[in-house]
Amino acid sequence: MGFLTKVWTALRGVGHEAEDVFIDAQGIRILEQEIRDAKDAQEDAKESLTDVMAEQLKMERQVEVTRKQQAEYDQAIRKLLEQGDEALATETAEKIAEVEMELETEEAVLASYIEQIADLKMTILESDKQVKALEREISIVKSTEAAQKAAQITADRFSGSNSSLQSASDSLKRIKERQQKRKDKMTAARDLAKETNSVDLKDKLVNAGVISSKANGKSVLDRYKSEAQK
Amino acid sequence: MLDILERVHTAINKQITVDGTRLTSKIDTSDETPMLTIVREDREEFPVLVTASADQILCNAVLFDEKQIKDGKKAEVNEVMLQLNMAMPLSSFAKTGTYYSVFGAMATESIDKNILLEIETLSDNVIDALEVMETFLN
Repeated sequence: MGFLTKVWTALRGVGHEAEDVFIDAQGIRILEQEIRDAKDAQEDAKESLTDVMAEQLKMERQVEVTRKQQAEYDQAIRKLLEQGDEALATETAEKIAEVEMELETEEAVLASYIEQIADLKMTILESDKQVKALEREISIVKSTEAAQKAAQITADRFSGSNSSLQSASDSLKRIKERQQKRKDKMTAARDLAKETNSVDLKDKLVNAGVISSKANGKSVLDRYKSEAQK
Repeated sequence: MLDILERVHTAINKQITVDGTRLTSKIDTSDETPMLTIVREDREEFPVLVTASADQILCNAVLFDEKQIKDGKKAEVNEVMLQLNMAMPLSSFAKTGTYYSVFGAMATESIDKNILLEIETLSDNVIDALEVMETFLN
């Protein structure tokens, strides 16, 4: 079963009852059991692997011994035939047939050990991956569960009673009003700042003698008079 | 996972958003799964709740309970959410139990700047989403 299928199994049926929004703890227990199973399988595989590897070494040594035997008989029979010792050669030939069969069996067993070792190594690698994947799944399920609890907490906080969330539309309206108020306040503050700034500037310019503080009728008359004299 | 949340907390708490509002973050460790509650001062009705797992930081903001949907409009709400899901920047729609929400998931390695962006965007998406959904709500 894929991860999402498992999560959906845990979630299905949930959501019809408001009090029952959390993931069935069973879902997590199943995943945890799967992790334990995978780890057990891995332990078994590791144990088997050491056993089989020991057997393999033993069998390799055995094959070596048998091959040596075969070589010895091989040399012997050649010598006997040269010497014309037909009787002993026949006896040796029978022994060689026996040794050859033995060797064949031993080599077959050795090959099967090698195969088993490859299989076990693969199993260990796969269960490693499986454990990691399962742990990842549990972590995701738990944070999904936390998100659900979070939803509940939010609901509780904003509802006077134990009912559902306070109307989202009302909240939205309130937030927008608040935002408008803030905007208005900022605009007002900016306007005020502008005004204050322009007053400040005028004062500064007067103080610096750049502009006259008393633009009155007399100063205007004086200006015209001085212009007329030119 | 607490160390991840503590990092998010430090990155977010008392930050000022681009439009000049303050974010406040609070760590809650009373539960088995620790959680961060992030509130934007002018949107306290819709806090962003942050949890962390080994792989991801999950930011979730609840929109409304399905009971708030007008009679016979649930299918339409689901349809609109699916259709808009891809267009919503950085967040997606979700439903947990009876609660609809918007959420964003980030890698635990995400840098502070991106976490802040994620949470600010999520909060904006809540307001945008509710504007669209308002007509379906009681």
